[in-house]
Amino acid sequence: MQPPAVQTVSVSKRFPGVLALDDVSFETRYGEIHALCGENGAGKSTLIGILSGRWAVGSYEGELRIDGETARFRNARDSQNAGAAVIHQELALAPMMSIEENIALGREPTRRGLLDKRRMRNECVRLMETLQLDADPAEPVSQLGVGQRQMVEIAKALARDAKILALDEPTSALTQTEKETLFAVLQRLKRSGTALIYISHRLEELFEIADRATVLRDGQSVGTWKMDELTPPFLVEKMIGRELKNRTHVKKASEAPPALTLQNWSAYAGAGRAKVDNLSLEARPGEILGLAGMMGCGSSELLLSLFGAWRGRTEGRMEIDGKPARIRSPIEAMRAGMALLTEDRKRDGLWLDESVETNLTAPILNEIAPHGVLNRKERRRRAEETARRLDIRPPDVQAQARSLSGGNQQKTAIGKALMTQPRILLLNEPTRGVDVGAKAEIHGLTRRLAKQGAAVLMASSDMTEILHLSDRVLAMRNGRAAARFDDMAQASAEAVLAAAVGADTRENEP
Amino acid sequence: MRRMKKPGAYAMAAALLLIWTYFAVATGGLFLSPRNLANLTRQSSVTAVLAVGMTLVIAAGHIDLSVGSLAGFLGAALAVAVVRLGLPSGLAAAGVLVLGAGIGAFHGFLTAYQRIPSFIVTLGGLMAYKGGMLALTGGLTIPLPADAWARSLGNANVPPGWGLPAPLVAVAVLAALFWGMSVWTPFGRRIYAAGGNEEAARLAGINTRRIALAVFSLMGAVAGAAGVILTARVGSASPEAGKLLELDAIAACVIGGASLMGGRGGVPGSLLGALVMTSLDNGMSLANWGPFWQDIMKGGALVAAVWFDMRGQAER
Repeated sequence: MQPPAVQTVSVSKRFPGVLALDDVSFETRYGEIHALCGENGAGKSTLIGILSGRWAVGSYEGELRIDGETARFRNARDSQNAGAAVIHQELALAPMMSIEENIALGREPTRRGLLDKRRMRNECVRLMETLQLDADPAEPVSQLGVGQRQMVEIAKALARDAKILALDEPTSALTQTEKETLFAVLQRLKRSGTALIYISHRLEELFEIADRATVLRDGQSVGTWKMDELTPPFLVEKMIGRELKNRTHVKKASEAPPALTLQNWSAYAGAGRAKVDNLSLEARPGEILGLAGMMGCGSSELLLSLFGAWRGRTEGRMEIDGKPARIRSPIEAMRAGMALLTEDRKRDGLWLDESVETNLTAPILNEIAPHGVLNRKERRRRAEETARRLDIRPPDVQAQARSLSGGNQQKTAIGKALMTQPRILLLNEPTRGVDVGAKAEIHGLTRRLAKQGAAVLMASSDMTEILHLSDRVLAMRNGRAAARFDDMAQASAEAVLAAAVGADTRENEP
Repeated sequence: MRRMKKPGAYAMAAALLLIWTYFAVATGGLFLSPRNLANLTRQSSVTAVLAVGMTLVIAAGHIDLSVGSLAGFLGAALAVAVVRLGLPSGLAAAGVLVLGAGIGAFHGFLTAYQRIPSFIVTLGGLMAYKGGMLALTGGLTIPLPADAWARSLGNANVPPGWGLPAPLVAVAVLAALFWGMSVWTPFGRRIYAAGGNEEAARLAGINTRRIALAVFSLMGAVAGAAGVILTARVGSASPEAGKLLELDAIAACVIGGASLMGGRGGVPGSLLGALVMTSLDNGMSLANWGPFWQDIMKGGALVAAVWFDMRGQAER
């Protein structure tokens, strides 16, 4: 029998403090579409990173085999030379260059030292025909739609004779028609003998296109099944694991009048695509409303748009304490009593080169400068007070933010949001990339804040976190409300996740 | 755990000391004579003034390439206002500062509100004000009348008859104001916040566009001050005045620890940087090195300073 196209044998990969892959054995054959499933952080990206050469040989334990032979990839080039290609969510194309130039990039055909434009064109046209991509080869890639750009990316991989193709969330930005075109191409590639690894949060897609599925959970492989042996609920159960069923936190939803009300709220990206689509919700003082959803579900965009920080158009009605509100900038949002914890503290949450003190006091500079001159003692006092309250370690507010651990950086970002004493707290992935101890502390803090009367909206793709903390849950998918759980006794990890990934059979929203 | 520290502050001071010691020896003590030190501060004053303003621009994450030619243009405007319009030179100087602030505000508007990168806006400015200067002077040197107040400014001592050259006092006052503002006021801290991480600043409720507008306006006014000193120092406006001074000012900031990525740098460092540059100029001409050496050494000092800084960062 022919050896598998890709095989990992007992692969383990450790990051500081986390075992991202734990003894994972996995294989994909030629002529197969193999789905890789799991919650965020289950280890899918790390596994693909080993195939793509991002994690070099030696940085992981175990063995990677291509065609049955041990592969020792030191970098992405080695992986490409062995016939593997990974298509990421963020496409790696040069936007101002034409389709044909992108396809030939890095291995341009030449004649006597000059570009051989005719061969470049012929190669491009041949691939475009294979992929049924209808465009002018000389057109700059920036002029194409997302779906077409993705095809160019696939063409680029095929031009490099890729026989193993891994696709990471390829449909997240595609329209229905584009998706169908993509699937037709994938089926054709499969029939011509390519090995395909397919990662998606959308379970219905896996059942549509995949032949087999391997489920990862907390870095371990749970098992591999043929798709026709599987049902969506069974798959969800495998992704979550049974032990999470026992929840610790069941609380009655608050009866107080809502602090924040949204009616038919929408937020649009540049070209009119709705990232948040006609959403209504209420957030009451004293409760935590969990916004459950996978990456791209629209919860990040929702929080940004509430905070006046969304750059596109918004639509719909917002009320704060029962009065109509129009928030046009973060400044106005803060005045209205809101605070936002952003999704990625390193990108837009912190000044990593500055001290903890500078970070914490950035939103309250006016408050601590009574006559236009900063009161340094007051600044120090306010920073130390917050650092103590959140137990930010080291307890030295002059420490550089970059030198802190992930958990303490996150606590600093949360502390910054709390400086203005918000009544409406918007938290986006509050425990992403923090260790278990800090996670528990942040959870405790969030619950305390709610108890003290804050209305908390918490977006998270971590189902355990959602169930553990929320008093009510709104599951989001494609910018819409996929399901609501007002009674947490009715909510289970399976039910919430099923709604978030679209495997829900009893959708309760039109 | 690492605490915040001014990167390379000691190394900078040490380098300056080294340069001074070398030239003191090489010129047989002439370099450190009171007369030459007074000269040195006069020479460094224009670069220092521009570097002070440039510090804020760079800290905010922008750049201003126009300041050299803008200072020259505004210096010429001063001379024209005094000579052709007969305005008292004090009033003309005030007018030049206001005009500079207005032009700076226009740069800030184009950068912050029309989203044209500041590099482009001010590169265009560099060319345009050079042309404006030529139009004002007609390519000729315009001397100030012998009794003009501004003329005495360049060479007077403060207090009269005592030791301090007037341009040095002007630099000191301006630097103290800007340094205090950058460190002690919310506005100053917001400049660094916006330059260090614009998105984080916006989400922390900081109006980053207004910050940029204000910083460019201040820079324009500072270019006006530099123009006044430029014309006062030699007693006339020459069509070549201010040429390439923007590069000296930027280099002074960078030698002083500013990062062109924004968010880093400080007024004291930039002053030291300006002093390093002028000391190299002054010392080498005093020690009879060929004039070409001045440019080569200044360029080398700039690259060496950043190299030193990068090494320090890599070791963290």
